[in-house]
Amino acid sequence: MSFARRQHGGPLLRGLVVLGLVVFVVWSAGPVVWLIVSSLLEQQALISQPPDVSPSAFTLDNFVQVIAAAAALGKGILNSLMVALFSTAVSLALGAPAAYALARLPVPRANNIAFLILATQMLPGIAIAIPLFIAISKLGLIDSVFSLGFVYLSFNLPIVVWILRGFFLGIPVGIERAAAVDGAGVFATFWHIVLPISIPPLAAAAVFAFVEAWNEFFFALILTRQSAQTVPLVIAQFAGQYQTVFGQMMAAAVISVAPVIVLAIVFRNQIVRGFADGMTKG
Amino acid sequence: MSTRMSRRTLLQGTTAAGAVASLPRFMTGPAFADTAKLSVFSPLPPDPAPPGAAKFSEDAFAQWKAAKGAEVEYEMLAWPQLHDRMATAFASGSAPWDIVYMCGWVPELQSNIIPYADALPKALVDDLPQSSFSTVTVDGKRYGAVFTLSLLTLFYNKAMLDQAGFKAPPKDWDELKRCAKELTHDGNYGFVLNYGDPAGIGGTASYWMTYLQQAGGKMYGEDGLPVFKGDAGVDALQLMVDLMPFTDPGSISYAGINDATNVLLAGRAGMMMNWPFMWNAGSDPKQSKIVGNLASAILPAGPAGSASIDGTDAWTITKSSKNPDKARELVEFYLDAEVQKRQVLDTGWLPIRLSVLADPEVQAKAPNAAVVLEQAKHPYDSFVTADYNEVTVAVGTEVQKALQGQKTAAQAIADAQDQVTAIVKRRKS
Repeated sequence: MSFARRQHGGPLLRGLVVLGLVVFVVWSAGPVVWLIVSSLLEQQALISQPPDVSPSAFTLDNFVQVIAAAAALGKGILNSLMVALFSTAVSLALGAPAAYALARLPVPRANNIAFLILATQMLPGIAIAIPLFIAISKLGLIDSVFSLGFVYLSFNLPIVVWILRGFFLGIPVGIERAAAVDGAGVFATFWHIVLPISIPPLAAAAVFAFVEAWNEFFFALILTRQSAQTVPLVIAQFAGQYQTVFGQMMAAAVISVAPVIVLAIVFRNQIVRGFADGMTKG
Repeated sequence: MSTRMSRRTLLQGTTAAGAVASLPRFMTGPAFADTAKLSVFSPLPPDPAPPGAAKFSEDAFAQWKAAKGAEVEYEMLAWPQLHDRMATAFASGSAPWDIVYMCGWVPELQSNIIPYADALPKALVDDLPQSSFSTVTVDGKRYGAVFTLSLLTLFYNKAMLDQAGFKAPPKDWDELKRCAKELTHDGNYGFVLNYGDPAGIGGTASYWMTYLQQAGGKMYGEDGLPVFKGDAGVDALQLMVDLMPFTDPGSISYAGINDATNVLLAGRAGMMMNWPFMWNAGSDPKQSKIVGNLASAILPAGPAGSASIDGTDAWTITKSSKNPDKARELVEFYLDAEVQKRQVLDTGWLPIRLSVLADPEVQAKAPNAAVVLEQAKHPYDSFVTADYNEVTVAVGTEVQKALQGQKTAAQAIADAQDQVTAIVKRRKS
């Protein structure tokens, strides 16, 4: 049923709905638009009050300079991609069966285990920073994208388990019973029946895990040196003690955020369905 | 030809290999077996960085490495993140560096570095301001060498002062207040600073410490306990409070000095305290609307005269260094007179050596060098201690409350002293 056909109110109500949506879109997209505009302005225009957005103030210099020094940014994007893809893929591969087991299998104290998994996320990062650094340092894995990927995996896995467990609990049990009647075992049911209808929540969990890993700053700061630096660290390099090159910082941010936006556009249908399903069934 | 391996040939081979392995290293190693590898942890340019990391004295650096048989690897990070990475590495006992940059962190991280500066050549030490060692000295031992003279001085918009009828920058607190008041009109303000972050050098507390010294006060007594709850401490804060109506209102939220600098460079404020490096940004037409109108002077005098604080950019050597002597030689190279001269001419960072600061070529290139040199004749104690961050959070937060009218200056200073006393006693117990 389309949105238009479901409208029962008059033009006033519809106008209010549209106005609300416009405000929401401006509120949500405003920072992104300003990021892009800032990346095209000279430093002098940016520090003016109000900022000078006359046509003459616009320039591509920030992008030219960021691309001219592209080695660090390019490497940062590559490192972030590797770390984010690794932690996302592994957290889905491990999280989906774990979530299914906690939702459907006769696991003793499944709810307690689920809360215990979530409780691991309640420790502030700073509390585990030094033990984690010592462990990774002893393993000789400082400044490695894989060690960073494993660390992010430990953050992402519990969230993925929780997102997917909520969805699996909402799947009608009858579907799985029908599969069992047809002779399917637990794994076959999970693989052939449950997973295919779980693409939207899997996509939503994947995007969530990917963005978390892509944006993480603190552990990337302490666990990397030069070769495994990720995008957030590269962008932070434009802010010094006495000088912040705002335009170039914004240009680097625009370039680095592109993969995430592309990902969101490609998977937009699955993301929306995934979160909507989670809301209604979880 | 048959190459069949018998037990005898295998035994002979392993014996020969064992004999070679047991030879002294100098007989078996490569030609440069004694090459010292040094790792330096440094800020990224344009913050203060050494030759090879920043673009100056690169040929001299290559010659030094060749002459000393040393390889130098730089690990660079944006300045705001330096402390966290360093502190984590030190705390875990896994710091991989030989030389590390410090900015007021020496007392805090002293157990991880060595007091090498006592072994620096006398001719070099004699050419450095003796007070520059105060922030790198703990229990009488010198743990570092400051490599750029970075003191707060007054920066002002000459055109704005001229229009308001001031032919010279303010020389004392009364003139400062009067000048700030006259400059405040039509959306412009007389003064701007960053009061948003209470902690650290360049935070709210450190600005108050500048005024504290100008008022004749000091932070700690001989016993190490705070003694600032007197007239000097209150007068210093009262000056800041009195300036607030003429201070850019954003100042209370600006967390970094960059934000305040931008207000001055946009021509929206007349005066501020700032570090020498601001001269570069203020003279760059891409960043500044007041090119040609930026000027600097020593800070206005309080009842006890002018005073400032020290940025304390210093090189230290870690305890974990495998080549501490070679590391010290590298620091000596960084402080070489010619390298120091190129540092200011090519990057804008003032030298620390007095002979280089007085060089006419240097003063022509960096007109504010003479002002900083003059400022250095007055006190500039940053009062850094092992608990400096905790202390400045406590003091700076109270200062912020007074600036926002939540407390009187006297009440804020009294409360700050109580908190700092507790912090110091906790450290000593």
